[in-house]
Amino acid sequence: MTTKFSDYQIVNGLSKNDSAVIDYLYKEVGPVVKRIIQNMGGRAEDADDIFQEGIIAAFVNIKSGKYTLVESTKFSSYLTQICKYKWYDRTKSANETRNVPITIDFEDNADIVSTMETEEKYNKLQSVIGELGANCQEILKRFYWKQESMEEIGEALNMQTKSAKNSKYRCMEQLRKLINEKNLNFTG
Amino acid sequence: MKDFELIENFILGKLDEEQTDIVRERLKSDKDFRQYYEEIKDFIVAIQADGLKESLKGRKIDDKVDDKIIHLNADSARNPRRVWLVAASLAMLLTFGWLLYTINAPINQSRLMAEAFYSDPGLPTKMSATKHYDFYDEMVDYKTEDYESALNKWSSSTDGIGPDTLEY
Repeated sequence: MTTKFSDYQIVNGLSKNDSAVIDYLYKEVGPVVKRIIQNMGGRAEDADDIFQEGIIAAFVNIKSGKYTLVESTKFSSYLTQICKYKWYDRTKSANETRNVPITIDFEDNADIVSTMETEEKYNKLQSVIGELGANCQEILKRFYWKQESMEEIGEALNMQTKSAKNSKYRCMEQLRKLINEKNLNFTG
Repeated sequence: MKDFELIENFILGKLDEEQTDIVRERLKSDKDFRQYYEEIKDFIVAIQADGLKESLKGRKIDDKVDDKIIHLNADSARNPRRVWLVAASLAMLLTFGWLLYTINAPINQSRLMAEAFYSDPGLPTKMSATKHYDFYDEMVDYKTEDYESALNKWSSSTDGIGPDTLEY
């Protein structure tokens, strides 16, 4: 049986990578998004992709402080809107070529557009992270995503704890350098 | 503590209250520190988003919600109140249909015949123009070999045919 989460619990859980919250979103919001995408001409696989992107976009907005929980808007509606916009964006050029009129109403459009801009910024950042060495990516992911301790990381990668800690710092500095080299200004 | 560690621990919520206040104060007053904080925060969020993307890779939308809807419908179909409602509606429909059929159906001749027919017992004597009813009634008894009844009727007969005729 699926536990029902409040919006506060969803936002809080998603920001902490709580698998129960992610399962809940896949069970409760996923099918709604799937139906919308299919009604708009998409396939089940498209809906899977769009929903995954939607969750990541919502996650990024929560973590970066761009999304704040508003009593009048349910988180599920916010996520559904992101997915609708993403589908609209993906099919926009194809629809324009085929002269298909777009008749989607986006509630709180400004918020969704801002979400997309934020996501775009983080997509660029992610591609820069992908340029780091495999060892760097592994350390950063283990520490910041999997929340492993430096002792665990050192053990897993056959390193001294202090050495793993220094490596982490160096990897972050390398990331900063890459961003500067590419003139990608993300702050502000 | 180096700025990097301070900011990292602040973002990850690992600082105590006093250190948290120091960071908040510096974020307000120190522009470079604030910019460094924004950079580190962005990197951490991007790394985490990358991790989330990897963990969601290949995941399909759970269609069990549709099953749940079907399941809920099945449950409601088993609801006693709903069952009674459906049964009552069905009974009313059948009764109404039967009444309608009975009123409008063509008369079934053989059924009507079977209901209304009874065999005619016939007349006690042959119908004729004679006025000697008793005599012929007595003769019927005689012919059907009910001699006792015939003799009784003859002995008390008063319809004008005397015993002489009979004797003759």
